[in-house]
Amino acid sequence: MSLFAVILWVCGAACLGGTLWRLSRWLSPDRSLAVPGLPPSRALVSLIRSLSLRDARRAVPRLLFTLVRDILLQGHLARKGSLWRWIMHFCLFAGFSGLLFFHALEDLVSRPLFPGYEPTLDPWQFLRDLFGVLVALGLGIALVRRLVLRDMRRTTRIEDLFALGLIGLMVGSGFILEASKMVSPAVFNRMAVDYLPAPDETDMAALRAFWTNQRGMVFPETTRDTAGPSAGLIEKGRDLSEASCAPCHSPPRSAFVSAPLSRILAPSSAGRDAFVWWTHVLSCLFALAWLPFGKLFHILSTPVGILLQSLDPGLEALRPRPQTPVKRAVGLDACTNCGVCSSHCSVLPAFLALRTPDILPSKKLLSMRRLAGKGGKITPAALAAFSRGGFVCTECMRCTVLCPSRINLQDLWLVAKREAARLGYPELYVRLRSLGPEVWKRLAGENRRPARTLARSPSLLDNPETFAACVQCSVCTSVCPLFRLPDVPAVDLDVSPHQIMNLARMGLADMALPANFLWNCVTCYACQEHCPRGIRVADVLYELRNLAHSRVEAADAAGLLDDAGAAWGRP
Amino acid sequence: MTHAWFPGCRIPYHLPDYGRESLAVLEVLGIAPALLEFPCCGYPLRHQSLSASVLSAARGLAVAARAGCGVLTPCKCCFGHLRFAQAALAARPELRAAVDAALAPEGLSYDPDTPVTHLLTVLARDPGLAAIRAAVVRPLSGLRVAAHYGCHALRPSDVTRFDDPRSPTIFEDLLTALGATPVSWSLRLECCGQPLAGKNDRLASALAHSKYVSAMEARARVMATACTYCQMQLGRTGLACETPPAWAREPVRASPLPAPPLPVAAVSRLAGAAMGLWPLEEDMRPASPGR
Repeated sequence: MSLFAVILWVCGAACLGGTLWRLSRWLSPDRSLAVPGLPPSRALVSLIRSLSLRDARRAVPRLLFTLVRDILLQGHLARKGSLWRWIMHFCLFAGFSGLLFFHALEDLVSRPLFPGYEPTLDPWQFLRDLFGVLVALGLGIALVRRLVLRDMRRTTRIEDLFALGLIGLMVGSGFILEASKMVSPAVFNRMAVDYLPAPDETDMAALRAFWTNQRGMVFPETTRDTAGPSAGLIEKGRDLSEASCAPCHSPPRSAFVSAPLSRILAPSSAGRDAFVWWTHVLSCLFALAWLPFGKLFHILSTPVGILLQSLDPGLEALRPRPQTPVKRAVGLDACTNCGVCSSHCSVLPAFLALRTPDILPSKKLLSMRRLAGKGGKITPAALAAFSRGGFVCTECMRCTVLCPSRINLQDLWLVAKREAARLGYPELYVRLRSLGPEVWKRLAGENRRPARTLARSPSLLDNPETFAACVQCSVCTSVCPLFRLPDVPAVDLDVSPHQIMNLARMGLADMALPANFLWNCVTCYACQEHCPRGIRVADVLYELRNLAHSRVEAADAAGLLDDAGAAWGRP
Repeated sequence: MTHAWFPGCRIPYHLPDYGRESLAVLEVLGIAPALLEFPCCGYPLRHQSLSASVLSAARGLAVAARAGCGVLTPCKCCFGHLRFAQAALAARPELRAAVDAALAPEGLSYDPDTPVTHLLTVLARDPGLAAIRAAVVRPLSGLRVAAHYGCHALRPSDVTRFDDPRSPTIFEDLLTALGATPVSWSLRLECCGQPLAGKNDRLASALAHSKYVSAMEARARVMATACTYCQMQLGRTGLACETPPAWAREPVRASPLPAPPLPVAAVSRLAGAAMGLWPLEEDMRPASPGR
């Protein structure tokens, strides 16, 4: 078995095995943030029940319609993305599919389907270059978008660029390989020996003369030959070529990229030709082996996801229903990191201000995907990272409406938030309100900021003027809606607003942070509205919460709270 | 100046009816707000980071300003926070500088004069109540309504400049124009409890409960809201999408809030019913005098 065959089989096995592994994860979803663990049989049954296949008369046309419009014509990219996005991806999709079926799989597709197929005959020779050009065009647009557009740059990962680079290597080496074959004397001689009936030296010279003059072939010996071949020799070569070459060879000029390229590459060298051949073959086989493990898997997962969702009228009606675990698992895999969700995200400004990575939906989804395969071993750090960004989401559903891959993101966010809270990583607010006085004392110590040092600080807490007028009349407390409620446990109203104002004006803001009342305040601004001295009571309470957040964020960034983080989240 | 529709994040999924019905009512009055893509107003972030929440608000206002529009929102928290951000940006040059620096790369610029309007103001003040009366074809005669004001539009009044913070009338004026009978009730200006939902459910539900009791003591048939968050909290609209279906085998999460003992309707529902756009639900119709 040749080395090539060994590599082909290994890569093919990796592709097949990896794909089966990914499929098995759809059917046997691991316990994770988005996909509660279920045995495969139950997962499959719930999927089938949710598909409402009973109404096959409606389901089948809808599936076919989606297949043609959104998968073959890629219409979802034009409707949910933009015209450029569609042009980019359709070029990649059409070119790649053409090369895959009519070039890479020629023995399985082209030869059986088209009698008399030869890769060097038109239209195949022309089509191969056309498909390659389509891929290159799509690749160029994609690279420009990923590297130039600000919204795209924000969400582009190394893997996206790697995938584009890999495709570029496959197509680029393909063009060079075809070009180098066109001017390879070794290939010429092998073909002549194989197909010319009993060639003698004159025949070979005539054929060389014809191919050099009329077909752009370059031989090392003819380049040295200053005097051109005689017309008779070329005519003899033409006859030989018509008889022996033409049945399998169209004139190379129809390969409109490789033919000009071949003249640049001439003369050929055997070492370079081998290098180009291995580059092309290895890049293609690497892509095959990598397919189930990286971004290219969307070639399978995204169409599956779109087809599954097409059976759910709820998403079309903008009322996403809860999803079966299988659909959630497929949805996680169907993301192509196209970035549409993140560029339209309602809380994008929060990301720009806070720089918490998992605020952006596309990043959050990839974090969730990473958590999905861990067999229940979700680390506290990963959960904390998800929780910090994920709970900033306001559930506005825009990402779900816009997702070109039709992932029911809204459902994923809702279920993941619920699961994160259950695992002890609720929203930051809930975690903060349960931190005890000793923790706040420690954090204040880590972050020693004496009050009233920043003379011109815009902060209310830092400014003595804020509280100068306070006479502790307790009107703020008496108008507070919480203090007039019957049967509120004393623990919820441990400190009153006027007491907090007093702490703050004494520079003891940190002592107010563990107060339950600070976190129970409904921010109704009754206190501030009614204060006879014009103290901005509610604004100060907000500022205290901001202070608490910044204390904990600084501590988290310094790794101070990691060890106890999980325990603290629990009420 | 034309309005741009700023529904707020909670409308599309959590309370789509309020958004749809508000636009329908506005259409009857000849108001067609521009539909732009807005970011979050920033209100939910105010606990965490003032600067992040103000940046979010400023970005929304800049998006409206670029289209030459003012902002029109049905949510009092969006309204209150957008006004709050305008006040904060006017008072704090360092915040303004940070916002300008963050918006510049996006080709946006913050305009301090972008008008921020709440739905109630447009209904009761902008075209004037005469326009409402003219549009009413099925007056809500005899319907006793408790107008729930919500906090963030009213207070802090020097920032929001919405209505008299101690004795507002805008909501009652509108209800009267619709033919309903607004009732006087003691807790009409108090908090609905939503800010504590999911954070301290016991207190959140106690606040909601006290409002129901107060409205019923005033013999209100319906409570009316004009805020997405208040309606979510008091109206308890069951989301079909959050009820796990049979195959899910997930535990149904019982809501910590009591079921509302009286119907709670967003103002758009009542206004649209009075304008003949849709019938009022059975339980919201005035009790027949015979009973």
